[in-house]
Amino acid sequence: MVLEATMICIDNSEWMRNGDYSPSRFQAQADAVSLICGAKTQSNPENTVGILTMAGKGVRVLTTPTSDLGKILACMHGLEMGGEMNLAAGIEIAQLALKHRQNKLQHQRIIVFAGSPIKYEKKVLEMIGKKLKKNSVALDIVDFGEDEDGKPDKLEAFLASVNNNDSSHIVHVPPGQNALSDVLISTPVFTGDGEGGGGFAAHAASVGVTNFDFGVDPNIDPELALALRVSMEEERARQEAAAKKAAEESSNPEKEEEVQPQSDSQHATEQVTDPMDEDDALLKHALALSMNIPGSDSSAGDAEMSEATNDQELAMALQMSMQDSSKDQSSESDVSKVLGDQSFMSSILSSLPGVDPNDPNVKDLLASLPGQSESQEKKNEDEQPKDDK
Amino acid sequence: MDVIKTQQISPRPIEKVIVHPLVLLSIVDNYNRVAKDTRKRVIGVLLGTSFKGTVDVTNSYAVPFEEDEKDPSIWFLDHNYHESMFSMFKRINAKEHVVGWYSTGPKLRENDLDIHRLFHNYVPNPVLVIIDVQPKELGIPTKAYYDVEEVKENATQKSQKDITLVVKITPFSLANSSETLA
Repeated sequence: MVLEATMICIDNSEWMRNGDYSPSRFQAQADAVSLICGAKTQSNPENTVGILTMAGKGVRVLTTPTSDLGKILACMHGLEMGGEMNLAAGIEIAQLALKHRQNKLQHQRIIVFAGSPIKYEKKVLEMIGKKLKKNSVALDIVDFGEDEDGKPDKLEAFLASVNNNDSSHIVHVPPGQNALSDVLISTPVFTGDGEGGGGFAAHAASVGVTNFDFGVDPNIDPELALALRVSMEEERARQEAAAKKAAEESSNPEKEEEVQPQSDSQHATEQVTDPMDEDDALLKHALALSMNIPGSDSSAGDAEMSEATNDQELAMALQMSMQDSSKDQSSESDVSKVLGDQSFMSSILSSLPGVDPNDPNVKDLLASLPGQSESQEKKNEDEQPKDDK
Repeated sequence: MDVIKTQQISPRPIEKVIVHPLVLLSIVDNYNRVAKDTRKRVIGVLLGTSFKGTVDVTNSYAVPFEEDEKDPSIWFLDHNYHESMFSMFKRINAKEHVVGWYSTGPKLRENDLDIHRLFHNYVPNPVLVIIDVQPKELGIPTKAYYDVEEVKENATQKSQKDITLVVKITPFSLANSSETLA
């Protein structure tokens, strides 16, 4: 909730007509600006935001820093594109505008949208950067749009000359189907201003962005998200423990305890609990035995973990038990039989919400299961439930 | 934004500018407090009425203004401040409109034309009055300018012409209520 006065420098040059960001670069920029203004004013009611345009006939200040969101959004309306962006003048005038802010206690920040090629030399930018640093002005640069040689370098050098205690940031946004504003939500441009921005970001994200860890919006299904997160952590801890305590039977009880919360998290994934309940004992046994193969296990496990998302704990468990079955036939025969049962597996996986068989990660995972011809079948079965994610 | 009155719709070229003493006093006072021993200048808005080629400047106020000494094209004038201030002034005297702006100069500077262009948003033909706050000689310390569009070979270009304005400083007159304060 840092008290800040912000000047946003908008690029309204000819380069903004391009449509590589939907619907056009200029529109994407305008949306991003509106989001930023909202986030800043929400995080602290005394924050002020001002806007200026850098291209056109010349640098023009649309609004001086004000906390009136309506005024800011109104002046964004009816802007025209044209001309070339004058980055140096824009930033200097933004600095002058911040100098005249009403509340001198506010920190000064400039957010620049650099969408067109930069015609200034690195040296000029660095000099400006030093002046900004001297006046303790923080700078955020959004590098999007035109991709010119040396542009990222110039901007990085610029940032380095301004940066003081990591208060300045740069974000490179390549063109793509993700909207500019969505990409910015998860960056320090938004979250750099404290926790209040996060609340707004989550609110905005519920509109349709899933940048969350497990593809599950905590707002929609907090229990599921929590369960997945907990199981992820448990699995990681278990992996580390397994790597350390190789071939230790005494650590069995420990493993079983860790398996317990893991299976608890699995319970959260609804119908999976029913068939898995009976396998809990077998599962524990399988996981305990999997400790005997620490090296390959954890590495494979970690690799899989980093790739798969929703079904991590389930995939891990499956993989462990699969590997075990190839090692220890006798004790694992039950488990392997159960888990090898194609129809059973398909029924489990089909009942899993959010398990996406089309996900290449899951395909890889299943393909890596040693010599299981059923796994191929399972993959195909998984394709079905995954479709309704 | 100023409401354009009937007499301003068809602007006549300005022939005379009358500056009331209150304006001079407030400008000099502001300059002495803010920028006395510096090379900075003070800029503000002139309020008044204009009728048949004569501009009657009755009131004024300074606006936050900043320019870069080394680069004259870098300047910042807080026009949000001006708009709020003007709307408040309008409440006490609805007849006063924006007629132009002033600068403490002491001479014309390169960005004056750009600033003048900004004031075209508020009044059709603004007038710039340069007030000499530290006059060396006796005489009228003001000079008034307006801008003229000149057609050059390649393109139309605005340039400021020094018009031989008769700048008349009225002696104390009790016509307006604001002047009783002076």
